[in-house]
Order: sequence, then C-alpha cells, then structure tokens
Amino acid sequence: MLESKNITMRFGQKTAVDGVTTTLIPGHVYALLGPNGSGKTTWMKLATGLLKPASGEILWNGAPVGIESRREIAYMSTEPYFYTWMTVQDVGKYYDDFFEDFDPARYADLLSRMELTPELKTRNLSSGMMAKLKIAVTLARRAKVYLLDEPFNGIDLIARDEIARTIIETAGKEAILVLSSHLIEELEALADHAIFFREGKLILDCDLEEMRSDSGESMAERYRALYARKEVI
Amino acid sequence: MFGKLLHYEFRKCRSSKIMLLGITTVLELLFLIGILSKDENVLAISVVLLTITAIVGVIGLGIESVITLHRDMNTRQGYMLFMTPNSSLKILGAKVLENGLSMLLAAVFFGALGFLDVSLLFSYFGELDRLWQILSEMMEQFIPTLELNWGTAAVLILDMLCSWLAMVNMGYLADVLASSVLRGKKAGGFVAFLLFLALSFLMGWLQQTLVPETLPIIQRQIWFSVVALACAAGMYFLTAYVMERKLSV
Repeated sequence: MLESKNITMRFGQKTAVDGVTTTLIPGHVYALLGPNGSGKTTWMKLATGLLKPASGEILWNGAPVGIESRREIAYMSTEPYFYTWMTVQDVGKYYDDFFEDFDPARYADLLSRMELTPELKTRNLSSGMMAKLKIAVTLARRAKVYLLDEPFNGIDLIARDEIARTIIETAGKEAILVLSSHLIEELEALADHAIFFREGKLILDCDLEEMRSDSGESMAERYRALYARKEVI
Repeated sequence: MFGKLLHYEFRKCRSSKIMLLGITTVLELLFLIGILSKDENVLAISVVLLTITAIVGVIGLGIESVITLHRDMNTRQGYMLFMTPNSSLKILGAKVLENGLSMLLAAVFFGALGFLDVSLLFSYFGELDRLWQILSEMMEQFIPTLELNWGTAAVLILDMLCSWLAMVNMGYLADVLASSVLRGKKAGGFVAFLLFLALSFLMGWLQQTLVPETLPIIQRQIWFSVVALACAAGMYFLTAYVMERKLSV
C-alpha cells in the first residue's frame, strides 16, 4: 500500500504539491491527471524518494519511502535520463546491477517487441525510440509499484497500442500502476482509478467504474468538466 | 553493490582519463624523439609539457570528480544514480574512493614515468647519481633542513595528495549545499564558494595548530597528511548527511 499523507513540496516560493493525501492499493491502475504544472510529476518523484518533501510523508507498506522502497518501486521519468555513453545493452546491465527485481530475459523480449537493438547508443536514439527504451527497462523490473510519467510521449499511435498492452500485462494483478498522461482516452482504457490534480492540490480521487455508474460521465468528460470550467471562469 | 557504484564512477570519468593518457603518450613520444635526436629544444619543451600535464592531470581529476557530482545532482542523469537502492554514504563513498584511487594511480604513474624519463635522460647525457644531487640542491633552496631521498619524496607527494583529497571533499560539501539547502536562494552558489574557502583556511589552521613546529619536517608532513585525511573524512560524513536529508534531484 502506498500512502501519501498530507505531502507538500515547495520549489522556492512555488508550492508544487500542496497537502496531498491519498492511498494506492495493489492490483489497481491509477490515472494521474491534470494540466501541465499541476503537480503530477512532483508527486511521482516524491513517491520515488527523489524529492524531499517540505512536510508530510509518503509511506510504502508503512515505512517512509527511501532506500528500501526503491528496491520495489520502479519510476520512469518523462525526460530522458540515461548516461549518454550507454548503449541499449548498457542500460539493461545497469538496471540488472542495481535492481534485484530486474529480469534480463524480459528486457530482451521487450526490446525485441519495441524494435530496439542492444548495440544502439542512447545518445543517437530518436525521441520515440528513447520513450520505448525507458518503458522497456522500467517494465523489465518485477516491481511492486510502477510510476510511469507520460509513458506515451513521443510514441506513434500503432506503437502506443502495443505499449498499452505491455504495460497492463506487466503490471499484473498485484502491482500498483500509476500512469500520468495528457492522452486521456488512452488512459481511460487502462485505468480503474483516477486522481485529479490542480495547482498542486488533489481535487478528486475516484473509482472510474463508480463514477461512470453514478454520474454517467467518462473520465475524459470529467476531465473537461473539471479543467475547462476553470478556464471559462 | 558498492563495487558496482565504484565501477560506474570510474566509467563516468573514463573519457578524461583516456584523454590524459593520450596527451601523455604524445608528449612522451616527443621526449623520446628529443632524446634520440639529441635535440635539446625538443627535450626541454617535452619535459616542461609533461610536468605541466602531470600536475594539471592530478588536480584535474579532483575537479572533474566535483563536476561529476554536480552533474549527478543537477541533471536528469542523476535519476540513474539516486533512484537506485543505495544510501548517500555509499553513493558519495564510491565517488570519494574513485577520486582518491584515480589521483593515487595518476601520481604513481606520473612518478614512475618521470623517474624513467629522467633515468633515460641521464643515461644518455650524464650520470644517474647526479639526479638526486640536483633535485636535493633544488629542494634545499626551499626547505633547508630537508634531506631528499625516496622516503621524503614519497611523504611529500602523499601530503599533497591527502591535502588535495580533503579539498575535493570540501568541494563536494559546498556543491551539495549549493544544490540542496542553498538552492534557489539569492547568491547561494557564492555562499557555497565562500564556505569552501573558509573550510580550506580552517584545514590549514588546524594543520598549523595541531602539528608542533618542533617536529622534524618529515614527521610534520606525515601529521599534516593525517589532519588532511581527518578533514576529508569529516567532510565526507557531513556531505552524506546533507545529501540524505536535504537533497532533491
């Protein structure tokens, strides 16, 4: 169970995440939604332990996130982050060296599905290939939590379907999967929960099935209702 | 897992070491051409450039280590390091060890190369025994009580390496403070630089205060090295503490 307890993060005068409290349960797929700058990426980095909060805490199975939780929480940043001297093979070796849950055979399989070859230099990859590599190496971990920030960025429509299938297949029934994306329709097909952020605050945390049956709204319609309304005002 | 961290720290700094080795090889070839052709101008230029390369090379390794840490803390590549299940003590420890070993190996390498070159020079142009005599006379100009031999040369080099290692650790602390508690603050970088200078002065003051002036010069240098290593250790633990508690990447 991943618990965010009144977590707040500031960058100078700006409050990027403001008192966010929520609980994520294994076996569920969460869509993290909100406009740019709403705090989604910052919250993910807090959950990974890359950022130190100003106040509040994030707990993984009851203990604050940190060195131990990194063994079980896999994070994929939206920006490229591999060392430029690495090849695709080096990236896998690096993950294998540091993460006990990394499965090299699965990595090889994912690379082949993503049409990436091991000898490619990361510095020569196009944005789409880089996005595929990030997904392959992250999903090759048998993690208990996957935090994927904008996994569909830079990926064409056809490859996106394959990636969506791979993500769901990988997460299985016991992991927590958190996805952030501006491609709401794609996310809706994958997620069973939605967490909406606005200006660093969590404004709605809901079960999508319940939302559909209670209000008849899809996730995309709720998104428009929440964010378009503010722009009209 | 510490061994893996160390391996990747060496890998991150590999390019500059290859470049240093390449420059040294070219200058060494120039030196050998000078010897074989008995061209004093070529010899003088190659000796001066080799000496500069050795000094700048060892100092540069320390500076590069601080730059690498800075890059790890301030670019996306830092995720590769800080999302692994390693404590700040281990992460920083790998950097300190990589840097210490690199500088030591570079000092041994350049020392051995220097000895070989000077031996070669004297075997062509004069007697090897003259070497120590000339070097001793040069050193006596600066430290009249010093009797130069292999032991004293090793102690002097050790002291320089330990002091430089301590300075590099001060650089780590200043950089970590600039990237954490001072980040976004007005003149944060300048404050960190002032802190670095203050710590450097503090180490010099500690060395002068704690080590009695009455000790023979070699014993003094050994104690200076001990104080420098203690300062380096203190900086290391303090830096790792700040990283663990305050650093966001």
